[in-house]
Amino acid sequence: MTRTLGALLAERRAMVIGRDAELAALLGLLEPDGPLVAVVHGMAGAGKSALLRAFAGEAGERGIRVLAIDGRAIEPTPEGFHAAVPPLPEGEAPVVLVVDHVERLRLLDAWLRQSFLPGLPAHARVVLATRDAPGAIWRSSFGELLRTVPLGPLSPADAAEVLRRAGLDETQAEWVNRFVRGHPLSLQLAASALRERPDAPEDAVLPTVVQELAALYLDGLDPATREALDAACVLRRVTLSLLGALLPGRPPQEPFARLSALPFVELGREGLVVHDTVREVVAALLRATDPVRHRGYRTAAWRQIRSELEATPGAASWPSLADMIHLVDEPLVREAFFPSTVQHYAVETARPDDAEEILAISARHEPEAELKLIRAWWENLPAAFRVARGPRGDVVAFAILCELSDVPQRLLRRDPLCVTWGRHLRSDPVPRGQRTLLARSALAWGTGAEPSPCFAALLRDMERASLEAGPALRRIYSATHGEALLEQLAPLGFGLLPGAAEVRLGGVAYCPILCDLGPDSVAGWLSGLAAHDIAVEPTVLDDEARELVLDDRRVALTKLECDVLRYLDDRRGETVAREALLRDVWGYEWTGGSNVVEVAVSGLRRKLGDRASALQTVRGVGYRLHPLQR
Amino acid sequence: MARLARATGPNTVEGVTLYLVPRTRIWRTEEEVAAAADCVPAVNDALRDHVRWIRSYVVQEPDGTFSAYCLYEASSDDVLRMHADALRLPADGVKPVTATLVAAPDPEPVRLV
Repeated sequence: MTRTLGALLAERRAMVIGRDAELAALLGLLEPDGPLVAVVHGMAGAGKSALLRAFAGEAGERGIRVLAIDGRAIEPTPEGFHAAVPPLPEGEAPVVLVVDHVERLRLLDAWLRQSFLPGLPAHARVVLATRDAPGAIWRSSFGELLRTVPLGPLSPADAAEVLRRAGLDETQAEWVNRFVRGHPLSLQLAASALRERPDAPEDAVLPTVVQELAALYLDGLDPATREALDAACVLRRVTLSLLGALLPGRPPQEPFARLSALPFVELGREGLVVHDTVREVVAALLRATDPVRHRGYRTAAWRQIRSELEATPGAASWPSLADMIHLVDEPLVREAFFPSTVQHYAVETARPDDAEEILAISARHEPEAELKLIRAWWENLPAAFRVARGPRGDVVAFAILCELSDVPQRLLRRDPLCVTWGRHLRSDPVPRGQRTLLARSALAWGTGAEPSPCFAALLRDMERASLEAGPALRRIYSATHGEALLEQLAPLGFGLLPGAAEVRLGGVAYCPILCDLGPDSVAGWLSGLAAHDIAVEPTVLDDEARELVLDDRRVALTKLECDVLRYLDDRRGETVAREALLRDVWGYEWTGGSNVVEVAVSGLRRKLGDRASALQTVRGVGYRLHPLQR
Repeated sequence: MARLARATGPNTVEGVTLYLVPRTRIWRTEEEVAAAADCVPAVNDALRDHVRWIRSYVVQEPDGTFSAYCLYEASSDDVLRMHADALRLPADGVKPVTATLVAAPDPEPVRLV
């Protein structure tokens, strides 16, 4: 007789062994007086996803609609989250939104808590699964309407049952659980390893069980699968195109199929996803044992991702941008999007009643003249203030970050730092269509601008906001007094504003600083950061050396070619009239009877080789330069 | 046998005094304790020429809140008040240590999970 779907569901639920109490706690959401939000939390491999599947199955059997999404595939912005969540059905019928891997959405913590969840219709219930227990601010926000469901290790009897179902005999199961101690992913890996290598050493001393088990399991993989796994583990997500770039000698479908068959690899919305724990172990092993191959994979991945980013403009480029950030080793950048540790400080837009605490922080560290300016900023542009809150909700640090175009003229005229930035902008304008951010100030209560955890949380937030500003972001202005802030921001490309004098406020000297992301905006800036440890050179026009760095090679240019390319690059994507080139590059005021522009452009195209098409002729008008990256 | 390090007067070494700072019921949750512990090194670093944090003993009170008994070397009690203000950790008092009785070295520290 053919099995029914109900039987399959029952089987799936039965696979979640030893989680009856946790499942019952989640099902409490479906009761009329039950909680509205549940947070399942536990370490990697604790079985959170399996529990969510079992809950979804049970809820579905009760006729309740369940919408399940995976935080790993969501851009960590409100827009990205809304794009991933299907519209909740109207009416009275209950509906449950299940979000797995919420630890990847730590940046949305405040937004989820303050905006998204309170804005859901009354018939909606929400289950979140994450690694960390919800902070005190969640408990105080939701009170009894929040249920936390911690997932610890399985009991010995339940672990034995899992191993028995995986095909291990009683002796093997007892041995495995002696050191696995009920950790579900470890049980799964151990069972796989033991099935493949029944002679595995029983006397292994295992300081970190999962890592050792992963290594034990990896030793049993055939070389082709192991190579595919090594390559996959430098990536955030595994797609056919990326596998093709990393393993050029193999048709990508073949390693893709090998990876799909592994017990710790899932097919997600964006491609294959290797379980975090295994991915970290494999990547660390590869980096330590074969750094050349590790670097080679990252370089190949970088080039492929970069080319995909160029091909997908706008919001659709988030997956590629996230992949690039994942490959960048600069902690401030990577942690801004993929925080690796529990965040004690929630960063969010300031509320009206935060004014007193913000001004108290300023008064603690700044002279009266600067305090007056901070007060003026608050009065004119409160939306620009971001605050880091401690577990009790108190403001421990604040920053002012906004688009230049959002700042009222009267404030721009009053603030001497804005006057200095404005002077620089006039002498070195940002090309039309590109954006400028102002990071006016950042201070923590205890330590000012010195490095500290709450200040780092603010900087990560500012970094994330800068990246979110989009592909048109060109420049970020800021200021520092003392060396502390600049030391923290220098790895991101910040430096003293060229030619600008310090600004004195109340006897304290403030130095204007600047990060120019370059004509390629965020992607180009990330390329520059990645170039520190990946063997790629960002595409740049080196005016001083008169060279174009393209695909890791340096192309020598004449002074004229360099000037033409600079002029077009500063107006990238715009049509530049031939007359404008003649006037501004050659200094000619007349336009007839000369083919000097055509000759220079022709020479440039020869040197650009297979990128020549990036320098486009606009018939009857002039030229337009497109991005030079492949 | 317990050893009496100093019989009388503040426990002072080259202008630095040993202080005990009790802080009763200042944290409501373990998360608050962890956040404070996270911040301590940065504040200590900022005041490194004036304060040296030796150790703290954190205890849970019967009402579930947490208290701490913190030991510092500092150039003055005013500096420790500044330190407390920077950490936003109110102190019940700043008490110079008169004597240190040591029976055995501290055992392995108990850590927050």
